[in-house]
Amino acid sequence: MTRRSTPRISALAAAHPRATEPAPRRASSARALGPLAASLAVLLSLAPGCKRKDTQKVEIFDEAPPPALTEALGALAPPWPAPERVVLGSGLLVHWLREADTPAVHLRLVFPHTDLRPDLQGVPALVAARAVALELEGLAARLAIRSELVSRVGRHEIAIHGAAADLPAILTALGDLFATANLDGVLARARKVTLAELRAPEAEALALAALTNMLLGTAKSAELLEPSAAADATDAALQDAWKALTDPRRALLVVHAGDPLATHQPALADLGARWRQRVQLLSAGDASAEPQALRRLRGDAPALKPGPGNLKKSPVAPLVRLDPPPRGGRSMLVLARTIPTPTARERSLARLVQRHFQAELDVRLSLSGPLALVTIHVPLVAAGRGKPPTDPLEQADAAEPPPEATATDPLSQRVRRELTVIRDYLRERPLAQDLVGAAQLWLGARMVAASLGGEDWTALWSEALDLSTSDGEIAAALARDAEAMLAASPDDVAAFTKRWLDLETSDPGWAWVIVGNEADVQGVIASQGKGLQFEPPPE
Amino acid sequence: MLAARPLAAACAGLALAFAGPAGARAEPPQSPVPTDSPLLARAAPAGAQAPAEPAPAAAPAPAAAPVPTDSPAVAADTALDLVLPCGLRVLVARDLSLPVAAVVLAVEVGTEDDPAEYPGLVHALAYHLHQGNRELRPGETIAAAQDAGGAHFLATGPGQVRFESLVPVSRLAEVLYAESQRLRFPTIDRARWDMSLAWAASDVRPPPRIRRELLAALHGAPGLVHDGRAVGKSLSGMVLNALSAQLANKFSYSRATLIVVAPEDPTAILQQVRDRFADLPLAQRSLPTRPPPPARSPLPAAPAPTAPATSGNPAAPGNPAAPGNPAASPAKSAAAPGMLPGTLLLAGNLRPAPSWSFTAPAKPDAPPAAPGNPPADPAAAGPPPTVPPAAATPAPPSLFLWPVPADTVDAAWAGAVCRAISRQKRETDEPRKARLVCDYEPDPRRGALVLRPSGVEDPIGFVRARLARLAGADAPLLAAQVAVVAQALRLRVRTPLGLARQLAASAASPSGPVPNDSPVARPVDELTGLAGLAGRPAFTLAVEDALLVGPAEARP
Repeated sequence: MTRRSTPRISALAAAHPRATEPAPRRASSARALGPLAASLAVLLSLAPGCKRKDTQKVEIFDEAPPPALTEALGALAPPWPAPERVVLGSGLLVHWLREADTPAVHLRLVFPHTDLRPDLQGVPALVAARAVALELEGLAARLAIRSELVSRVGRHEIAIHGAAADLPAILTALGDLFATANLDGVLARARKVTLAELRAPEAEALALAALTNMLLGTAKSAELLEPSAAADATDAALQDAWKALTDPRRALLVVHAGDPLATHQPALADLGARWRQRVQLLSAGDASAEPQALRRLRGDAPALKPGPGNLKKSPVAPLVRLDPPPRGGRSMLVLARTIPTPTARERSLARLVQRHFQAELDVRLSLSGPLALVTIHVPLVAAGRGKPPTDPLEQADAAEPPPEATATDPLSQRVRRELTVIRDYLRERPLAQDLVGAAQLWLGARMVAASLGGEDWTALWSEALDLSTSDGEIAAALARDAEAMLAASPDDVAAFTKRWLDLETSDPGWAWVIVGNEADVQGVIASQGKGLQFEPPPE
Repeated sequence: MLAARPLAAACAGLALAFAGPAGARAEPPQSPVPTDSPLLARAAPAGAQAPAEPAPAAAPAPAAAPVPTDSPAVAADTALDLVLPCGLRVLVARDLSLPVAAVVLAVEVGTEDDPAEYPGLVHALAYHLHQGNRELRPGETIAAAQDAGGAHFLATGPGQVRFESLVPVSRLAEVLYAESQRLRFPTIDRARWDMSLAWAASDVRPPPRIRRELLAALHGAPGLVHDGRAVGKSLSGMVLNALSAQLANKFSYSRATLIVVAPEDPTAILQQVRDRFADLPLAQRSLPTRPPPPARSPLPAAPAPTAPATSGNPAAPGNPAAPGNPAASPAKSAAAPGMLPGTLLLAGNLRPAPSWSFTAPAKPDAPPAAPGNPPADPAAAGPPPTVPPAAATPAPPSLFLWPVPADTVDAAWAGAVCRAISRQKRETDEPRKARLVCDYEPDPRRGALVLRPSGVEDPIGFVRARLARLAGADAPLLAAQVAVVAQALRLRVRTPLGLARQLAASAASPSGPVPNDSPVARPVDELTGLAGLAGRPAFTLAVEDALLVGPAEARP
């Protein structure tokens, strides 16, 4: 099963004040203490006789127990036991998932980037993450590992896959990697690779970046990854991005191994000793490193309240026009809104609704704990439009502009009909059988894809992070998600859709953009600019 | 090489044509065995052993076989192995890592079984078995997996065809039903056949790493010469009745193995499987006859040395200990009692015969050879296929090929040996440019191991010496590669689909007696070859057993 790309919403937690602050809270408060305190802190951090525990066990007192084997299998969830959680001396948070006797080992380095300075969140953070991945690829032959870089909502992840016997060597290699003093070569290579990978954004990417900016207040540079940003990023910015992104006090290491954590305690302690933060400011102390994974990923942001925008009734959100991408491409109209999902049931319902409507519409969902972002994509196809007039003598486009598009031009009419179809389909009450099928397809594909991908529990753990609002929910998140999706009724779905997705009557919180060439968008803006207009298609 | 291909892309048209509901499938009704089924009326497959009892022509559906009360207890690392009354072998293993199940139907037929006038037939027929039948809609076997988020693959090779599904465990029953129906009463009509040919023609055709003529000579199987994935005009012109007969002949449950790997109790799954296949007529298990590889021609004499004696050339005169010494006749060089110079002496003993197991070619009155034993009357086996007379080649051979027996233990050892040979260091008495490269072409039924010596004037002696080192000074190197192969194998079989594929590659006939319809518990490590890696090697390389090819063959 293939998934379309979901919006790059790197800041679904962007309502968090940190995202707009220039520096982390701890550092800013530390700076107030003055240079003497800073020196003292540096000395203390170097003192070998500093007495503090290397690892601290993290207890989650409100943790929902993971489902038993039978329940997990019935709920299409992995039968994993409750994880072990520790914070290393450097502040690195480790989640350890044990599967007895497995011959493989999987590690996942999770680097959130929503907490970085806005100018570091986009391409610089990606380059830094790519640098980590490249260094690991360089070790692949020696360690017999395979690594990959995965970008998810608000974070970059580097997954490492190897054999169980090689786990100590892998942990040592990670210590070597993050203890490296010279980053210039590493980051230069990563910039080069990133430049080769990035393409000029297309219409869809432009639209999504603009929408997340409008709905969540994120910087466009954080959402839109352009080759020019990779070329223009200064070496200092890349270095800052590396140091900030790989700060162990912000990172999470998820391990899926056959041994218990205690077996690898010495290697973890060594990793904690060698992988330390590079920020030269006074640290508030490793003991204050956040022990909750989700707080590291999202901070303490309260759920974002939807803005006042509507699509039809007053006040109508303005239809924002974006310039077309340099390479051209198809024009499109994209509608988007945020949906608060404070409970597991609502998160599951949001996903079920999206999966149900995706059968007929291009509806996408990005989910990150208490907040979801839904987008509806309507491509604009210039059906029946004639070619622009050309001057046969000059073999160039004629000087006169194309005829002014009116509200009755074919493209506008087509868009109105398309929107009518979308509106009516969203209002249809779904059949229970269709919902069960959509749920089974989604849940089954999740497990099958995980199996085909090597049965990496860390990948599923990462999905569980997005389905949770507290660390206590993570272990049981996938099972609860499956139960909730399968238990949802047509009435539940209809009520959810009516409240959040009805194009005319839903709660406020919409934004919409149109992107494309002048000939395509002019008529649509004229016809839709004051609010959605509908037109039933001919019988 | 047997490569599985996901079928969503290949059968896009078929998948779209099928508009089945996405909900859970209702329990399918049991259909009675029709009296006019071509499956009942078919003749025994060519070359197959005659069944002990003829299948009843008009028997009603037999009652479900009683559940044996002596089912063995299923330990965590064991698989249940049995042969159903319909001749289908079933292997069921357990995997608790994720709530998914893998189902593989492996049929012992391959592209080498194409009739001479219909090359590519088996490959096309494998695609055609997705076109549905009386019980299954077109594409339903694919939809059974994909509608629930699963994946379906088709793998075709020279000696085996596999239909593979990986599904959420909640979908296992539907997939078992689909596989229990797949080979029955397939739909035969011109439009569907043309569609199947189009899919087969669009399949990838990777260039062979070993020339097909060599592979055919190596295994003594003329059917390996042609490109089994090519779709010729003769196929589109086939008469429908002939098509139906070929399907019935080549694709039957009595020459198939059903492998199920799931998190549920194997005993419970076995009962589900029994229920699905209970209505099939009784049949003996009938595997295709695969004659053993032909005897090799005597080795050519070693070339006269051209380098001075001080060069350390092992072929130089005055070096009686060097293998391939021209001062010694080939007979004398091989004359050490009970030993052949250059043979890989891993076990300390030389086996007088290869360790593979092939059934003897059909002889009307001769009893069938038991698996694992040499034919009872090799003289009655008939003349072996024609082999290119390598001994007549004047130039030194540039390729040494060995067939790899069709079981997982030999395949694992072949991989380890090949890795070790590729990592052997050049000795000081070897020419400066001496090099020995090993390629291993894995295939569940027609694997091959190839050595390519270069930079030496006496490749036979050179290869002998390298093989002898592997049993002596380089034994630690071999042991290290065995460990690498074992680790790779453990990683491969840790997923349900990986384990199911590896079980499908195990010997087509189980070792040891298997009471009819009574499951036997076998260690999974034995079936996958892991246990064999821990013990004495089963795969031996002797230069005298190799197919020698020369002059230098350009790699395809």
